[in-house]
Amino acid sequence: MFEDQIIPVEIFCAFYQVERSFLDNLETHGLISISSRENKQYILLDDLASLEKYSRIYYELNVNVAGIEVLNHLLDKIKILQQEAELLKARLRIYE
Amino acid sequence: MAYTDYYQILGVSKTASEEEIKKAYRKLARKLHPDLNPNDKDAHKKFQQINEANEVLSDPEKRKKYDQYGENWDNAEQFERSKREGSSSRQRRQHEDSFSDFGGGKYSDFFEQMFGSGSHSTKFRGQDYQAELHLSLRDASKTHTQTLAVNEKNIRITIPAGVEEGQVIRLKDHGAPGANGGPHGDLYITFRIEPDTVFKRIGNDLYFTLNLDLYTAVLGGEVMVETLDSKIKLKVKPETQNGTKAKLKGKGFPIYKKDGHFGDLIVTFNILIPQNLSSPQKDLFTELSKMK
Repeated sequence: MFEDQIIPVEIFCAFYQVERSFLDNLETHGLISISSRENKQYILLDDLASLEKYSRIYYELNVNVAGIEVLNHLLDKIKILQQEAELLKARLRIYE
Repeated sequence: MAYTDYYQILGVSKTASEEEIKKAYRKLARKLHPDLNPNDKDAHKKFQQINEANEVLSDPEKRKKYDQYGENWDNAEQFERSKREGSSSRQRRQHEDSFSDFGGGKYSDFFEQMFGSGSHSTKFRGQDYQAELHLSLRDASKTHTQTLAVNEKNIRITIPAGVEEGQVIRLKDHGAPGANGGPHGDLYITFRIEPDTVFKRIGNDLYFTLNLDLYTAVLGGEVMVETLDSKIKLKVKPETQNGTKAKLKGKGFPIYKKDGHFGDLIVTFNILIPQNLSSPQKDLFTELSKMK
């Protein structure tokens, strides 16, 4: 794993002012991965955008982690359905 | 510029307590939050409105000013300014730029004029950009790179072979910068595939109409068929009927992100009846017709 692909957990928590327990909770629900190396824990850069989104939902909307998990699942479904609708619309245009 | 009724936006009465305002804001924020409404401009706009309403109504000082001036806030602003400037001028404030309430900025004109801008400290993710990229069918059949100019910045992207009409790809962090140190938005590119004069594409299959002379259709033979990148030989069975289709497996469009996999090429025969027949030809056809 490359240094520029990971962020130390304590740096993330300090920068975004979130509690460590929040990240642990997200990991327990399978929403992010926390990796360990030499007694230090890291989050993956790939998870950063999702983590920012989960933090906003948690702190701004007061939705608990179980709720975030449900939302995440539904948002993924919406995204797939929206893409499918776009593709089908495009295919229908061929017959117009 | 219209007066903005923050109480109406949050759906609370003018006597609502701080707790009631907080509750109403949270309820609406859960419904309209941009993270929960991706690609929904209307929800984003409404979210800005409720944020602004909450920022004013949850701050006792701002709420006092808002309540004090109410619908006449615009005149109050003039009055205060003329007092500040020591002038009796009652000229209406002229807007130098084209404000539009909640049109795209973070706050409405109403908010900025009354409370000034930049009093917010909440981090907001930048707006997502939407762009369209037009490709010819032949370009869409090859993996290639293109440079796009988005807001005066050049972005080089690799377009995988097989992209479909209407397909959207996301380029993370290439949208508008965030507010108050928030992250950049994303750039969404929608592919528009221009119709081709030779091939029609449906999914991963290509359709091609081949004009076939009557003699080859009747007697059979071989013809050259154009594919996307070459020409191949196709056998024509004797007595081929007009509209007959032949499927050339794996000679269609490349399948998106599946290297070496292709759809099929479907050839429809369009049999051409000879024109301007000579007398001997006409005689032969007459003879043939008598042999039926």
